[in-house]
Amino acid sequence: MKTYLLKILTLSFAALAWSPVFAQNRTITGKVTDEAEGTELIGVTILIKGTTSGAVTDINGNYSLSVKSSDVLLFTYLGYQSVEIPVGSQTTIDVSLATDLSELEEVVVVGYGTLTKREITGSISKIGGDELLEAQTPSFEAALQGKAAGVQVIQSSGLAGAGSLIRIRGISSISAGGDPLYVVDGIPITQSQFTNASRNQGAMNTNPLATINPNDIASIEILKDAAAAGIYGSRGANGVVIITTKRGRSGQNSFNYSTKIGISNPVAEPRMLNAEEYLQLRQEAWENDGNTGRATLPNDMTWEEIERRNIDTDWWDLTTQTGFKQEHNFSWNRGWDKLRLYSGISYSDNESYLVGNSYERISARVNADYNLTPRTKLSGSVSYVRGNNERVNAAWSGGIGNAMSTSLPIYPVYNEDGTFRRGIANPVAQAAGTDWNTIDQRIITNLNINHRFDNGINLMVGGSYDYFETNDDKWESAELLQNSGIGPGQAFANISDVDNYNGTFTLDYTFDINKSQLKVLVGAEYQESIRNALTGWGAIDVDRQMRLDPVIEFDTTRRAGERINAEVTKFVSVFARFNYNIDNKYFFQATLRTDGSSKFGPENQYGFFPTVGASWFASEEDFLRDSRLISLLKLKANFGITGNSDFAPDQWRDSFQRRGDGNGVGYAFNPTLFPTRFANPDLQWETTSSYDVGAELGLFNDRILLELDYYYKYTRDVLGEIALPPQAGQDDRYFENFAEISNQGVELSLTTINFQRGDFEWTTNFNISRNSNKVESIGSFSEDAIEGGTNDTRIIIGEPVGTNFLVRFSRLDPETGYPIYLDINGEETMDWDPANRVPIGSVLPNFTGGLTNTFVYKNWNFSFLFVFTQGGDIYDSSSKRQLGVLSDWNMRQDLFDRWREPGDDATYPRLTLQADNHGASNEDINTDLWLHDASFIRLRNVSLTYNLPKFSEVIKNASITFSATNLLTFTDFVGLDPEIARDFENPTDRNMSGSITFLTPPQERSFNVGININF
Amino acid sequence: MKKILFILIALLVFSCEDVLETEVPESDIPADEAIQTEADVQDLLNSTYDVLANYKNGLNQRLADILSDDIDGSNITGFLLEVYNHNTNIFNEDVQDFYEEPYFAIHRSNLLMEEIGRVDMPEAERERVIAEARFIRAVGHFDAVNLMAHAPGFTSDNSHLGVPLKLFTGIQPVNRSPVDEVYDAIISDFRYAAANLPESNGVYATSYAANGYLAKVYFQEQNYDSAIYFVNQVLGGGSPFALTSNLNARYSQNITSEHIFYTLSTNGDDDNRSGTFIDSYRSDDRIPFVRVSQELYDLATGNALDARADWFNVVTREDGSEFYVTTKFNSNFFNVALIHVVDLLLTRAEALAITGDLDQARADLNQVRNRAGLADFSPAANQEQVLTAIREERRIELSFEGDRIMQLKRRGAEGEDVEVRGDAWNCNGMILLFPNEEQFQGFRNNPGGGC
Repeated sequence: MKTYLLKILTLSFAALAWSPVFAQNRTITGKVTDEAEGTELIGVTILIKGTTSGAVTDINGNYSLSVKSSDVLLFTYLGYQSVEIPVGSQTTIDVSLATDLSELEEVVVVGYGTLTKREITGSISKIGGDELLEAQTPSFEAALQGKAAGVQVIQSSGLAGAGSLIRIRGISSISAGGDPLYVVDGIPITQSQFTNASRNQGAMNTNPLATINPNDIASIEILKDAAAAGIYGSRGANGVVIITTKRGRSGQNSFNYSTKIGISNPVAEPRMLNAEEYLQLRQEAWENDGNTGRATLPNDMTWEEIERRNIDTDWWDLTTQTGFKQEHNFSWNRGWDKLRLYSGISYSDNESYLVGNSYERISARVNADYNLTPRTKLSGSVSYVRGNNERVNAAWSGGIGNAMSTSLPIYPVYNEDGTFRRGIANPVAQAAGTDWNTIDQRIITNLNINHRFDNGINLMVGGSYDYFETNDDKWESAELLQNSGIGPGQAFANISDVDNYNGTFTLDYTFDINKSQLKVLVGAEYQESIRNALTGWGAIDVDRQMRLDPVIEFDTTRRAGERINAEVTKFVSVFARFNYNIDNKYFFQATLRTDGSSKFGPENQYGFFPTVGASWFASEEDFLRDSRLISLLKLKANFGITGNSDFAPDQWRDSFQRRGDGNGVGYAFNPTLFPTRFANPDLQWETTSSYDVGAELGLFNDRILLELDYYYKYTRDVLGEIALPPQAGQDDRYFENFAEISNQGVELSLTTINFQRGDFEWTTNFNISRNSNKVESIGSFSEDAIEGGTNDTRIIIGEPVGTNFLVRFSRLDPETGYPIYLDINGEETMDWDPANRVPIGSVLPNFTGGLTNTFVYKNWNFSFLFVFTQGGDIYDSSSKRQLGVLSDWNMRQDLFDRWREPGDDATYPRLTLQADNHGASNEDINTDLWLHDASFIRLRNVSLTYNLPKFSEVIKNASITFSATNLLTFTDFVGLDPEIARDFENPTDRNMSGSITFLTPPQERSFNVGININF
Repeated sequence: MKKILFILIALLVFSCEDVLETEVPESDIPADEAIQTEADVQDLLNSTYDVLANYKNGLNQRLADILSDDIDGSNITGFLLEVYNHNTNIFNEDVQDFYEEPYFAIHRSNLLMEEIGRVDMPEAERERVIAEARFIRAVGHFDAVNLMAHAPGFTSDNSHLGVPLKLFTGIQPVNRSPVDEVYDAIISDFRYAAANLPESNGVYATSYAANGYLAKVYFQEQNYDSAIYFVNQVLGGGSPFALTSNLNARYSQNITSEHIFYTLSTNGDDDNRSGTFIDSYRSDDRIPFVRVSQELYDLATGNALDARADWFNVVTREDGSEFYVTTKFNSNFFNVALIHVVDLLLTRAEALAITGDLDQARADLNQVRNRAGLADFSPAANQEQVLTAIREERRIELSFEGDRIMQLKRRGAEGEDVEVRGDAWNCNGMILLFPNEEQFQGFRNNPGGGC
């Protein structure tokens, strides 16, 4: 025993004494595995600390490396905690890496790279891909609702494929897009709702985001403030949504199959009058107006026919259905020695509750990463999505919009001979005579090369191509068009495509200086976007389809209208980001970006957008380090300038167009030439100065995490598409930088682990935010210079963008039962006069937010999400016709609460068919009687998942989920759906009319069952 | 590394402008390249006729007729109902859709006259083109002032507000000029056109067209001698224009000796040049929403011999009630005659009757009556009877051509006690309110509130 001890001691001393000599070029080997699952990790980087030499693990997780005993090995792998191990005398070092659970070390995609959460000085919300799949939504962006403070998401309608209105920290644009910039795997994608001439046909805006497959998304980062979005410079003012798709991981084959089926119906149904009620109310109005006998009926209907045929048509019932939804997703993951692959295919068919309406999506994606050398990595992806939207008319365009308006219950669907009744609003005949679909196709492909030089500099060169095409194809029968001159029917086609090329080049380097660290990123980017669009129509189309080919020569029966060939936007940028920290406690960031855009005249093409920010980890200071209460305290502040130029190109210069010669028709068989735009060479960027302060607080070892932010933004040179007086005699719009807008707000989010013991865990996520928005200046223009589309919303100094501008309703005249209004001075008047319009109501809610609770018990997972909006009005624009002067519209049952005789205390006026009884010249009387508080709490999503116990060697895990979306809504709103955004004519309308509803289809409620299997 | 950094920093500071040069879309023509040749000038001029054809497709005429007593408004809704009720407001989209159109034509005419100096072309051609541009500009102002302002004679010196007089291009708006200035400008343009246009010019404006318009403008100003003079310029000795035997020639794709100036409709499903007429009135393959008033129907169908009774039809509902429709527009495409022989004959007839030449007036009247199958009007009739007969002929012949309301207003301005469906010819609602978009600061709109 003693001799053994002696031997060991002697050997040890010898080893210590001789180690510098024999340690040279020693080879060390080992294996890297996942701590939890024990699987080999492929592609782990092993670096000798302080040098640039290292190795990468192979397909079996093995590595070998030439080392010295004094070396320290650094094992790093994305998504795992890094580990440092001194080599010493070991010849084999096996390491198991733990997944990165520390909040602060979580990797966040920040644009042109990643940072850890700790390093971030700005405001970024991260949402995992799984969270997007919880709710059943027509398009992925709607699933962001309630998930992030300061991100307001309004699902627009219940139409299949419909988009959402997303506002990050308020609205600071008027005629330029107010939506955030969407970046998919580093590519700013084509996202405009207005690229196609069909932009608002059928009362639905096209939605390019519906072509993003939510199943491909690994995570979404929302960059909210200037420090975060500043790296996107001139495109960051409305925030940035960064979408990262799933990438291959190392390991053997793994497969995932998931499927979901569901049904849907509307969250609310209108209470329209039936035939008997309608006739009764019409007769009452008729007699109120001093007439005798039976009331005349609209569109030449007669009482005789109604009584004889006993007509009582429920048009809502005829235009709605139970929607059926299904989706199937399959993905395959595989890692080899140098190559990692993720590939997925998906099919979904999403039927809405509107008869004939669906969105079918087929998508495929391959993401590959290839380690060319240990230092050089190629990353590429290819994706293709085809969305087929079976279209229907809605809202003002027909379908269920008719069912809520001009389709009266006294109209028959059919004549007695079985033919459709014409000359009335007949959505059944409309649907039968219409064949309409919109096919979106999108290809996103990119290739990046990352190389790490000997000296530690990282180089990234990337190129991408994003192709987006919309092919809108509609056929209407001659019978429907009531045009005997066009043969069997007429076909319409609107096609558009956008080629979007993007090239990026960055270099980054990290300087370690004593206790501080400086990360420098510099880069340059070039983007070119080319749009083509064509509108065509033609008579006599036997196969009911136009399928326009841009090269077709149009003859007299097939004509091209609007034709835009090669509308080019070029965008060039250089940028830099500096992240500096001292002692991991004090963090500083600066970003600089110069952008050039071809959207502006030669004098105004370039803009400079800098930001600075700092954060301080007070909890790392001595005075808090040992606190048992406070586990995290981070304070941050930043300032920056960002911009916005999201509007159509070429607006700065004047131009002409020619018709005839194959592009539309001229006049009298000769071409025409005409001016289309006035020049404004002074156009320039909108610029937003943002100030942001915030704090993050963690208590009880981060069981309670609180984030609080305050921001103030001031936007100058806001772009307006000014309505020119018609006498100018040319296209009636003109872009000008004319306004200033401020936004300020607070955001709070709270994440708590309420209970965690044994098999049971209960966690809560809560966020709430408030934004206030104010128009500060509108230059020399009048309040009517910008029209809120078809709605009475305006830009008024001191009021939020899109404030309702309405005549005030005072009360019902107790003697006559007719409405009394207030004039501009607040005096009562019986006359409805537009001169008495005033800014009224509040377009912005006081608070919006979301509350998620998740319970995990053994194999069960139960979670539900409430979203809420408190305060804020909705203008229920269609109710002025459904509850006002009787006209050719059906009315709502709310009218039972109407004035009938003196002494009645009723909500709605005495019935009349004459607008002059309401003091107006027509029945379209906008007053604040139709402006309603739209506070609501909605059970947005509830889901219950059961993870099946392991029952097979092949199947790693499997789960089944039951979920319901929009199950319950609590609101006092008298209209249909308090969460709504109507269809929009153009970006101005989109920014100005976010709180208007006009026969807008309510959202859908859906019930789903899903199965998820990994094998 | 340092070099790359240096280049990047240099890029940050000095940006390259060529990188951002883009062409306008291929479908567009940069402004500085648009008007270079004689052909460009001709195409630009052609586009002014195109505008005219687009709003003379019934859009203009329908508004005018809905104001009048020729229409049964029982099935009219929305913005057109406001017009019918003589009470429009600034949000009336039908008014806006019309109002901007004449100014499109005016703007393009002005632009043409401002740019033509830079184009190398024969002097005679240049003169003709300018004359046509002035012709179109005058038509535009005349159409606008007729619906947006009270008739000449509303004030004794015609100092009441007319329309913005646009004689140059630009986005800076001008306020409304008095009616006398607007009429003077219209007359000046038409006189220039009459003097410089050829007698024959394809489907485009001729000296005859300009003279025909001058007759109408002076007639509306109650300058009857001048009206007679200019009708004579068109229909006088050697005139190529005369009535045809076909009553319906004006509502077809034929161009006959009755057509002095017209807009052309070409076959094609996208042709819009007769669109609003068809949408509003067509009655063979649909039930139209704009219907004929009892008064007009009775007048037009009262005489069994009158071939024009065929222009009207009765529709009976299930409960036995009736309404009336017109058949004038029951085809897919037709040219729209803006200056035609019947109009000028009846204009001259009325001007002659007013100024006392009853024999000549009757001669013109009888031409129109005979063609419709009616006998000569009684030679014994007095001035009032002749005038009434001429006006009834005019009402039937020019029905739905937007003429009726102009005659009622002119006669009101003459001192006659004219009411249109109970509203005085000169009450507020007899003219339309300028649309919201026109209300720049300082703009003087018409008073709202209707009649």
